[in-house]
Amino acid sequence: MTSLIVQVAINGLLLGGIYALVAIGLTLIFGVVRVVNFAQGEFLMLGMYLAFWLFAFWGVDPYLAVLVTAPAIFALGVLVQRVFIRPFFNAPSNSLILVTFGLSIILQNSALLAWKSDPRAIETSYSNAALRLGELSVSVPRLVILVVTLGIVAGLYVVLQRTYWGMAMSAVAQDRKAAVLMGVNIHWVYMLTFGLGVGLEAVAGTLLIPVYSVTPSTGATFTIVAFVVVVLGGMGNVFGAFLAGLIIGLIEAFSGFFISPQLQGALYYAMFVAILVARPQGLLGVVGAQEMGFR
Amino acid sequence: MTSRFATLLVLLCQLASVSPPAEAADVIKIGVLLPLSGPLAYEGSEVLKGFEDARVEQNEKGGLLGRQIEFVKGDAVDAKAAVSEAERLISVEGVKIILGTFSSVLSFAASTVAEKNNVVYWETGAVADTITARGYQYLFRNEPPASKLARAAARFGTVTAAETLGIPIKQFKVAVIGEDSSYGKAVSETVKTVVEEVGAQLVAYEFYEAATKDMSSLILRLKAKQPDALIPTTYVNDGILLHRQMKQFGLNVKVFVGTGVGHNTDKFKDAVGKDANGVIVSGWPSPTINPDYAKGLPAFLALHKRVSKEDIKSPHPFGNYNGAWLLWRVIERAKSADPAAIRTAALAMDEPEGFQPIGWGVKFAAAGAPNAGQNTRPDWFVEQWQGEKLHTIWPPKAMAKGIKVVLPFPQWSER
Repeated sequence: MTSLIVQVAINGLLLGGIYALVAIGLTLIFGVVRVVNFAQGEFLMLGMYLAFWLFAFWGVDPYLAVLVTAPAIFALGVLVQRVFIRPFFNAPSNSLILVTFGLSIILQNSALLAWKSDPRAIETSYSNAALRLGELSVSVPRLVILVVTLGIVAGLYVVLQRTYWGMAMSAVAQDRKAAVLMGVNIHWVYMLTFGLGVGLEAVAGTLLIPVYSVTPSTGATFTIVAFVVVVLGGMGNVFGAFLAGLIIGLIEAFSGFFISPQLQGALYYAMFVAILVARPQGLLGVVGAQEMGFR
Repeated sequence: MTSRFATLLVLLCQLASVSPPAEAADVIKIGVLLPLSGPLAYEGSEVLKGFEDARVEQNEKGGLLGRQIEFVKGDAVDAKAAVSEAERLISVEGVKIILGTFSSVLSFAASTVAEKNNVVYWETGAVADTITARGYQYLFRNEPPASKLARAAARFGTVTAAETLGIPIKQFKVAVIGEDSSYGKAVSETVKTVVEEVGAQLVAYEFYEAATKDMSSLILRLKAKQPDALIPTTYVNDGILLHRQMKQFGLNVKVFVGTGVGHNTDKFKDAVGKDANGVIVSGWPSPTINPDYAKGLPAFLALHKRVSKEDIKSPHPFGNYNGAWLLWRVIERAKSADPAAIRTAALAMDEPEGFQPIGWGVKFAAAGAPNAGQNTRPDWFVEQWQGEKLHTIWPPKAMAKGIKVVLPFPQWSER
């Protein structure tokens, strides 16, 4: 029984790694650019398709393909921010919600038009690979995702604390006007952060293609859980998102095993509501983050 | 002036002679209602190929009742469009027969319009039981309903498998799982009924969300129950995830029987590769079905290559060609394309197994029956993935020479 519980915990942590990776980009965009990006999952979906086609046409391994997909989706994100988001720079945040929601519909339906609704999946040599530790089994592609997520969290920490762009991002997040007065080019910060935020989704999508199949609506299913993770972790908080991702993953795995697989989704929403009642700002968030921004 | 008037009169007469009613007498216009755009466009276009094959074949033989068959297409992208396109086909195009529809949702909606207008609705692909549960007079369905799909899978996964493996049915442990939408619930419910009817042990009856990102908890639960047979009802994505995670956690079963869409497409095989081998699934037959059973298959394969200029890519063309072929036979017997005559001829039809190109017989449930308009004679086929191809394994007569049922399902470690 002990080994079974350890196994369920491993499964929960690995699933949590996926949720965290998907949520980090979303929380970054919210914290700095102050945009609630409903189209976030669609960039993940595009990343998955891109990785799928690279594999299908040229046999490019997804772990190499990430060198192509991440920059490509980063560039797309920069473009989208410049064309669709920037015109609403001074508009109320509600209009931006509608813009990103519309963007999500456009991207999803464009994908439907281009690639139809057929599920696309690839089989790599490691799709089903697992490390065996006695009775325990650890999925290799999921472990890779958890390790990469840890790397990204650490990398973001260094970038935000040590580099000019990181500090500029923090400055813009804390006080847009003051940052401008200090000579920060706010439009560049917004474009690059948005690009980075959706570029991280491409990393997630590419690493997920050995595990999941993709359809045009795949992104939307991730967006919902990503929002839960972001709010639970404290909006705009990268480390909070990481922690919250792991917690949601663990709740899902344990409730699915001990109570019912059918209820595993419902239970983490219940837990989510319960935690927010006790801590409305999220686990690591600070009160008023939605006004104050990234921490 | 008089001569000009006469010329005008002659011209008018000539115009009148090419007016639509005169032309309509030379053709039999049939409405074809399918999803030709939108998310089901691929499946809809595959069905259309089967209909076209049947139309061209019949027209080359001189048509029906001495008239050529003409299709008028309607694009049923969703239920709303299915209704408006059915209305257009009937009121604007004046069709008296509609062929369709692949999807149950579309069929359910559009057939209501046809029934109101006393237009024959000839269904060749949609399977929901509810379609023929409404006591309609002009609705006919050739293929068996979804409950038979579930029953075919469940019977094979219990009685046939237990017999083949030499396990007494009372000791045979079956796990039934399904995604938790109405599709998975309805099918799993029927499967569970069969498991209980035949006296096997139901050791697990579980549901999960189709959009789930992780099935490990479900798989660990099942592993603890050590089922002999697993009968899952999934869509494609969750079917793939289930397979991959079963392999990862080493959940070995002796029999794996899918109930339909999750396990009988190339999408499943492409995603899991050789691991598809051994999976059993109920549905349309594969092209390797024994031609002594499906007598129309060899001719159909040649016809399809000639008309659609390709080898068959899915089971839909043959299955739906077969349904249209039956409609032509009914019209011939009715000696009329009038809905009332077609109805009478269809209800009078009583043909044994082997009559249709696919090997099925014909006997439609009469008006007043709980499934009025349903062809009661046929049953679904059972297929098995062998060498990464689907082969028909049930009924035994339909099994091709050299094909054997492979049981038990190979252990993951032996693959």
